[in-house]
Amino acid sequence: MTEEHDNERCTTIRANLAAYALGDGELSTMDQAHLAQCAACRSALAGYRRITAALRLSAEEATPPVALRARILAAARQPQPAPASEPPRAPRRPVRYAALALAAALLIALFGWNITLQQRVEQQAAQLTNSRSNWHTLTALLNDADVRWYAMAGNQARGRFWADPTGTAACLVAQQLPPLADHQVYQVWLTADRQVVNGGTFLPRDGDGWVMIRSDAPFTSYQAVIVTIEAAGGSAMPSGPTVLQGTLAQAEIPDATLRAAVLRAITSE
Amino acid sequence: MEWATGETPPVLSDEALVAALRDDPPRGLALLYDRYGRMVFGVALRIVGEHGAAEEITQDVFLSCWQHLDRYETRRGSLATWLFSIAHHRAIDELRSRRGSETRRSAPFDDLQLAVPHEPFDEALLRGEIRRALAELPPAQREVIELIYWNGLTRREVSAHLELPLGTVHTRIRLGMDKLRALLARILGDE
Repeated sequence: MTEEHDNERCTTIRANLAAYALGDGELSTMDQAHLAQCAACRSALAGYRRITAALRLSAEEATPPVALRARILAAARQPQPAPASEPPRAPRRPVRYAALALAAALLIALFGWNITLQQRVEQQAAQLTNSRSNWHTLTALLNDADVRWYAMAGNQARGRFWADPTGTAACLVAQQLPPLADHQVYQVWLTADRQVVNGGTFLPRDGDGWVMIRSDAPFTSYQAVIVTIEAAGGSAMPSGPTVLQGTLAQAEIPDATLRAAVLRAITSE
Repeated sequence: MEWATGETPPVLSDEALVAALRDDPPRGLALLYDRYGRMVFGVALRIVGEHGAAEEITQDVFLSCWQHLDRYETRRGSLATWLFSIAHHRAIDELRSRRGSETRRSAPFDDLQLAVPHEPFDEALLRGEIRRALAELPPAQREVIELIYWNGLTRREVSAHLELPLGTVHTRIRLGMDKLRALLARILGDE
């Protein structure tokens, strides 16, 4: 079966797909049949779902009454009845059986679609694993009794480089970075005598940003950390202006409050 | 980004929180609430718009999370995302119940758990991008999207509420969501 693309039909269906992703209604048999045949609409649905998932972040946090915490903990100590409402699980979308002939034809198309979806899930799982790995590394780093921080400064930017000096994982947290042009990134470099090692690239938000840095050698092997502006994708060697720099000579010992505050600052605005 | 110091909750990973909930439920629940209570209460308040109901939902969410901890799969997403999906679902149900609407609409919770920001962006950075993108939407498009997502209205209910033809509602949803896709394509990895 060849992929069909009908602009008028696609335009009509996109509204259904967008509403469906937002949580309104189910897809009709016709919509499902169209999806099986139209790669563009499948891609659109996947995009709408990503938007829907991200929309949760538009909600502001709010401070609940102090007494609520005690009420919840007290309720947890009571014998628990069977829950009145089940927590959401992956919804079972109702299977709508079309005519057998149509089903047979769609099966072939769906096979290809499933492969695409599986690839998407695997990509997202890989991103998730990477994200969680960084998060775990950061959490472990900030909880490490041997973690130290080193001050970094630039014309307007400031930052801290967090590392166990004898370890190989570090986190650079920067603030007040100057704006980047399109297709530019910040790139971290570790320097030692005449050697410069790439520490990775990152993009800030509103001038603030952080990046995990993994090194093959302990950080005692390096003398300084610098951050430069480079073209998107990063450079092999520093070529842009330096916006932040600091030596690894003066290690500061953080207290637990500072560690927690840094983590909180990274995870909230 | 705020760098204020002061009393802060212990820094625990999701795995450590789950372990605490299993090994020492009162302590685990307290830690979970200290970490995510403001988020859950904020979501509930945003949807139901009333403090009493938001408190009740927040309590339900944390107790439900604790009681059904075996359903949480770390590989599928963060505790924050899971808690949000429970809170959103519970609050929309509450809203629709008040209106006499059918409850328990379908919701892509599986995808909520799968959605992750790109490296080195994380949720804190993505949050600003989402808000900026929403602010760039024409108000009429943003309104219909938020009425469905945050108010739990169906398209027909939006049409009646705004006194607009259903076709206009459809058009605004599609244009708004397509614009969000375009604005957030880079950060969400949309092709």
